[in-house]
Amino acid sequence: MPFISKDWRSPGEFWVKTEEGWEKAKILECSSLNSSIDKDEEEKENIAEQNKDCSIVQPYCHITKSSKEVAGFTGLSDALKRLDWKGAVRDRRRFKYICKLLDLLCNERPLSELSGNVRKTLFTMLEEVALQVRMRQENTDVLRKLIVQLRSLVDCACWGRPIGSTQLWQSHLAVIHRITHIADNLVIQMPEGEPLLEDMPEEVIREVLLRLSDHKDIEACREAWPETAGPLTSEQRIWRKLVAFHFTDSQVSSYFERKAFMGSKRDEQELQVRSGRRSDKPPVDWKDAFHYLRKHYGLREDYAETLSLCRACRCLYWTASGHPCVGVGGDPSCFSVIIRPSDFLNFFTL
Amino acid sequence: MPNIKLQSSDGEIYNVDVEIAKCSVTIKTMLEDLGMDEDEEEVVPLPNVNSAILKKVIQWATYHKDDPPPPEDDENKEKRTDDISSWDADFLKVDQGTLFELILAANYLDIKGLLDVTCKTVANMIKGKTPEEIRKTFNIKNDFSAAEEEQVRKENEWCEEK
Repeated sequence: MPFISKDWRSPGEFWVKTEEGWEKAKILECSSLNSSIDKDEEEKENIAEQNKDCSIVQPYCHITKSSKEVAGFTGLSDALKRLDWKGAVRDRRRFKYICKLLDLLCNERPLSELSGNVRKTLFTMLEEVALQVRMRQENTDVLRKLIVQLRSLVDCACWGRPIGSTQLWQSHLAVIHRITHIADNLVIQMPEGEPLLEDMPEEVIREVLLRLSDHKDIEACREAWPETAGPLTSEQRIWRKLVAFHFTDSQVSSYFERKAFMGSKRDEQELQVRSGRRSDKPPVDWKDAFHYLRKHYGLREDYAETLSLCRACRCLYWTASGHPCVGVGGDPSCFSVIIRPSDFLNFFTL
Repeated sequence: MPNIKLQSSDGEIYNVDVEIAKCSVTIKTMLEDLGMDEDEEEVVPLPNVNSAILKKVIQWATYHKDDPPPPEDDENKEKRTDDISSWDADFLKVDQGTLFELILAANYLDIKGLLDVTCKTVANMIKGKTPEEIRKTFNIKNDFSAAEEEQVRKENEWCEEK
């Protein structure tokens, strides 16, 4: 008797066996998953390799907001694979975007709500991120955060909740174990050769500090190196630039309005007490301004590279690679909208 | 295209296209102030840059010679440290000593683009790390006593309160 697939309208998928299990051929066509190399070997030179791959096959993914019955439906794990998440983790410009996406997936959605396939992809991605952190010795905070998240996942794993298939959960536990091992054994290598950061003139250190967009990094520098970086981190210019980066003009003026209000109140009190003359306007404390604005408005989300959605053909693609479709009339940038990580997850029914 | 001869601190002479050499504001200003004749055989000494670093600087400037001038005062670009082109990222896969020597050369020669990308690379090495990790990364010796460190931490506590 002939086998009639569940979806009787099509002949079914063409499946290919990869290192990570069976995968649909159509997914492999537009991702770098098919170029799987041995993990130990690849560690040293994988970034360059992957960048080359990315330039050959432009990752993109058409999305529809239709039901499962309609052909062309894309699930989250398929979309991630089509958008070449592996290449994205290895690409410094896309790394932050992917990390935010993983953060949202781990924190905002209970693991039990994710399908087994998404969970599988999620854990593979988490491990890849950990490997990248170890290799580059950068963004160690990502790894620390990851460990906390994974611990909470394990802690809340009780029968009937995030476990699902026992076999799958065992392999997830193995991934968690491997990531913990990476974190525990992460050794920051001391630099070789001269000169060192300590030999740099003040203006160079200032230039480096001006490029930090997170106040925590600036404070960490101050703590790590109090005698040189310490005085520099107190400079108003550093904080003024940080304010200009994270907040809009109207947000900044809200701070000044508040300051003026508080100042006039204080002045009135002073007048009553001393009936003396008004003191000169104090200079702006930009560090205070930054922390006030941060607590009120939160920090800006900024990514070197984001996904874009073409509203004409509903195609998701990495902005820097450009629109993959040919024959779209006019400038594709007019139809495209930037997709933030939270927007991306909204496309999928998880 | 006219060429110019640049001499490194260790006496090596490099023949460079003037347009490429003008990436350096220091050299550009010097040429504009002093003027330069055709077929000039004069050598420009660069006593603060050794030959290995000068070679790398020339390599960088040659690749970026046609870059459009960067927009003035673009706050976002300066802070977007992960926005480094793959060529620059490969170019800067060097040991820390070379990286800092490149920074010093870019600072001395006043090459904004190179200074920007090298400082971003250093900023990336700082991002997300704990003070202890930063010290290890750059081999910074901590001269502060535990009590002084505690003092610094206390002074900054107010920033973290929600």
